[in-house]
Amino acid sequence: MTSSTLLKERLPTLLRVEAANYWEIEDHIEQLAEQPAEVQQEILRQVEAIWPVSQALCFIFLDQVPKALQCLHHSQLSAWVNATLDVYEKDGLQQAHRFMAEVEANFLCQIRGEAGISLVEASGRLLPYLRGLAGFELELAAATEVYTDGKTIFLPPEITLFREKSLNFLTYKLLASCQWALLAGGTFDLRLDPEQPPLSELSEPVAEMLKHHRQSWPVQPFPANFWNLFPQPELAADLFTLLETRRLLARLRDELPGLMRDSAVVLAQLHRQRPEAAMQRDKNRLLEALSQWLLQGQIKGDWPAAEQERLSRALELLDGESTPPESATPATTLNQTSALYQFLAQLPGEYRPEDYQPLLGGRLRPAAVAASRQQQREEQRQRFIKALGLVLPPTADGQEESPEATTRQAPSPPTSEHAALMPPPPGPPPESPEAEQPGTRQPEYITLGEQEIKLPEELRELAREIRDDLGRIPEHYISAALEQAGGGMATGAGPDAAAEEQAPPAGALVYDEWDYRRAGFRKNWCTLVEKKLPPVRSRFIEQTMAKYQGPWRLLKRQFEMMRLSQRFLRRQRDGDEIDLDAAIEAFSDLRAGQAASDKLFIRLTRDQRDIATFFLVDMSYSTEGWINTAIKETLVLICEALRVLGDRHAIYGFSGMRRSRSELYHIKHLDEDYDQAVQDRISGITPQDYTRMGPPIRHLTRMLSDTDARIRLLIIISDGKPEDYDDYKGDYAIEDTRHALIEAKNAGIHPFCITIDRQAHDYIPHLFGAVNYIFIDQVKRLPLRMPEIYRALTT
Amino acid sequence: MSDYQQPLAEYRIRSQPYYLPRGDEVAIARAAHANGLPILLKGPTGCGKTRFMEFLAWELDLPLVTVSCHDDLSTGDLVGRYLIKGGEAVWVDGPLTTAVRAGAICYLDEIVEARKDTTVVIHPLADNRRELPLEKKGELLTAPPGFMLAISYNPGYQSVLKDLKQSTRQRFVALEFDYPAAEFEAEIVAHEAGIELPTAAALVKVATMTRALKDSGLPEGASTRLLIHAGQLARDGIAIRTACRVAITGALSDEPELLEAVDEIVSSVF
Repeated sequence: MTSSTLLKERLPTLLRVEAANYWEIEDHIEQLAEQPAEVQQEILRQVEAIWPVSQALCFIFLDQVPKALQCLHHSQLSAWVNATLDVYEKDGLQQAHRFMAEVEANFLCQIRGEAGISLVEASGRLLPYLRGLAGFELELAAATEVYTDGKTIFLPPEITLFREKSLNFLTYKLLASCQWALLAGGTFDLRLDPEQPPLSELSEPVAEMLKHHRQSWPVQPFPANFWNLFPQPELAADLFTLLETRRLLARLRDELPGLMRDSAVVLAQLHRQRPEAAMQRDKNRLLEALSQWLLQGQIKGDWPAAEQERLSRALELLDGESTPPESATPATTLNQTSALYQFLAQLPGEYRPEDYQPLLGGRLRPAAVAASRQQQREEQRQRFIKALGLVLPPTADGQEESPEATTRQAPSPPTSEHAALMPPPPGPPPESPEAEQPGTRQPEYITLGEQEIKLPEELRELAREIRDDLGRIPEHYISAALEQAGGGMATGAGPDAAAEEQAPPAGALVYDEWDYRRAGFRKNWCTLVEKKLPPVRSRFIEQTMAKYQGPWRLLKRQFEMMRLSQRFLRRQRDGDEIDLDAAIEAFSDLRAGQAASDKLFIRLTRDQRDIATFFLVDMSYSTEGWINTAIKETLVLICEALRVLGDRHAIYGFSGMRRSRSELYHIKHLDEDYDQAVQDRISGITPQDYTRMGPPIRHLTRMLSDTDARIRLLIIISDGKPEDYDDYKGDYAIEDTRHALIEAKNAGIHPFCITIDRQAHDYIPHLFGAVNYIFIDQVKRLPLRMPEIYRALTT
Repeated sequence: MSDYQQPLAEYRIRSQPYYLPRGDEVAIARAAHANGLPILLKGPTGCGKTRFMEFLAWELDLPLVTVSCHDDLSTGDLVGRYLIKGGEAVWVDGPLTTAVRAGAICYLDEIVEARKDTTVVIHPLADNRRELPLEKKGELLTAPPGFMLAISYNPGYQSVLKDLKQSTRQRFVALEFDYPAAEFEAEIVAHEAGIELPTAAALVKVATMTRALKDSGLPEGASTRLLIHAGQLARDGIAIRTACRVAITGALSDEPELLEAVDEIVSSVF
């Protein structure tokens, strides 16, 4: 029984189970012991891949794998696990568990190309479609019920309504479009106020009801507050949703006729899937009949003859006596809801909401919409206050760091009364009707007492969004910004510094990380933060230049010679001027009866050195001492050399600890001058923490991709292996770094690595690629080698 | 006077181009011309800048010399140069010189594509001197009153290298162009493509949706020009969804997912 010993031997080590706790995995081993050796091998390989991601998931995997193997070939295990890990990283352990438990529906069907399409798969196409439709950045997310909170549209994680994938996608498209229509059609936007214009069209009974309940209106967002006016809000809600669906389907037919024409099959299928109305009881029966009528204009099965009259009356109410659905508004829906409710209320029996399946997805969630809008408003408020605070000059309160200023109870400065956001002058006063129109005018200036400050573009945009939402910019937004004026000093340094340690600060970037064990990315695995390097004013630069005085003269000459700017190309077919020599020769040739050359012109060409180089230097703890000094000297020399040459270059340092805190230190931006500030930052380079190379490489790749240059170079200077405090070690770290470099290359960037180490290691050619690195064992030689390397790379 | 006796007859616009003014741009351009001021047209591709120039040339009854700028365009290409013809060196005017001599409109399309040193030659023409020195020939041309300089560029590219120098841009009267408002755009598409207004309006709807995809990775949305192309194909019997796919979707991007998304938009609207 060699195969059983294989698991017995290796599983405990892999799962870090000690001998005493062997019983924990005994069951698993027994279950899997009968599998042939190659299957066991495969299982062990997958355990290796899952373990570093989630240990809990690893045990779930061991639980599920025997069942999965009944329908999966062991060669499919890896794809299955990969799909599971994707689910895990997106939606957490529970969803991953659910995914694993239903191998058949969630995984196999997709592999067989049958039926289902997952939201993940669909969203690559669906999301841009939806955003184009909406005109703003809607999000998509998976949920068991279909609904929207105004910012995100929640759709089922998978649709298996049809056997054809394209039709299932179409179903997604229809559901998403309907949810968008709810948002665009104003289903959540009404204010339940009978004096407001849309509600003046309300029918008598509804208006009466509103007036009657005026005092006791529940404080809930529309339309929940409306539903709650009825004795049975659930029924009112389902009727309202049904009628809104009818209104919006009409709207979609009008606006997106292609979609609705294509979707006829989907509606028919949805109709087929509904229960027979006659099988339902009481009020549910009629509601079911109405739903089916809406989908297909017919009702499944036999409708009892005795209730025929009742049905036709209800259908009359559904179709609305006066307004065609295209011109209906939410107010019309209120009238109809009320009328239908009254009608259904007369019928005997109960209404059981749990037995009724709403059309085209789930029930409306006004509270979610309200919450997300509130959240958005709050985020806008904070961003606005922060951005405005940065623009405003510091007030007296802001400048002194007195204890009162750090407590947030400091009264708002008196100047706030004189502060107001103004549209560009000469603009109408804010209360004039013209200014009420959202988006017509963007406030461009803020007046603060006597002063007028022009708002930057980003802030203007934000101000416009807030005005669109609230109709104006509330006074307290501005007064709060005044409190923070001068860069938010009023918040004090203490809590800020603490917060920085824990949560990633705003503006942090997330990057995927390559996991070679599963041959896939760990999604959004690392957080990269750009940090400022405290400048150090010292004589380091001068000392370096003095130290390398001799070689520098030579280097400078070499670099000057590379500075090709303009040159004349003689004997061209086409050019700005006549090449006299060539012309005379041609004439002589002609006189001599020979064929003359037609290359008679001089052309001026400018060979621009269109190069952008990013230097990425290792600031890990291991560079402490000589290496750090050598790196700094290298940077000084290369900066001087590139100043001579005029090539654009940028310098960043990197370090960090764990995946949540990968740090990038700005030393010199691409088009920043090599000035005192840059020199101070070079002097200030000090060893920090660990060497996680993937995130900074990916970040610089992204920055370089956005740079317009013919040749884009990424030069990385590091010592030894990539390594971090967590599991970023060994093969994993090497493979991730290698992959990041490959990604850079695929993006049209030339990465080049300079590695400083005592001895050459076997992994280096694999890590960097055979021709893309240089190994330096004598650190003292680095400063002079660097310009040479650069020259070789760019000529 | 018949067309053939006029200078630059081949550069004249012979029939009134279709142009739907969207604001007071025609009046502004006329006033600029009357005062000898050059104009700068800013706007995304395919929104009607070139058509506007044709319309203006028609309105002012002037020839229109158009130069599409490219990154190898040298001063000589604009001003002129000596060529060797039959044993003699002969000066040949470039398009800019031709336009100055004849008092025509010279329109430098996509000026930022030209080399920066080339753009500088238009400087003396673009201020109150209105002169064009032909250095190699030793001649100084002064532009007659009819001459007008117009340049265009697309600020949407957002590239550092493709920006207009301050010393250049601060000589021009700037006219901002954007895609027309939906109902106007539909009217334009219907007219140009010869299709029914509702179809044109639906095409505009597609375009509006693609323009909203800017943040999702589409560099630019569908231009009016693309809509007209799609409309023309549809008019000649190509199924509308196919026409949109070949004239709009395919022209916008190469990215498979975005292409599919645009296709979904098209199939929703039509």
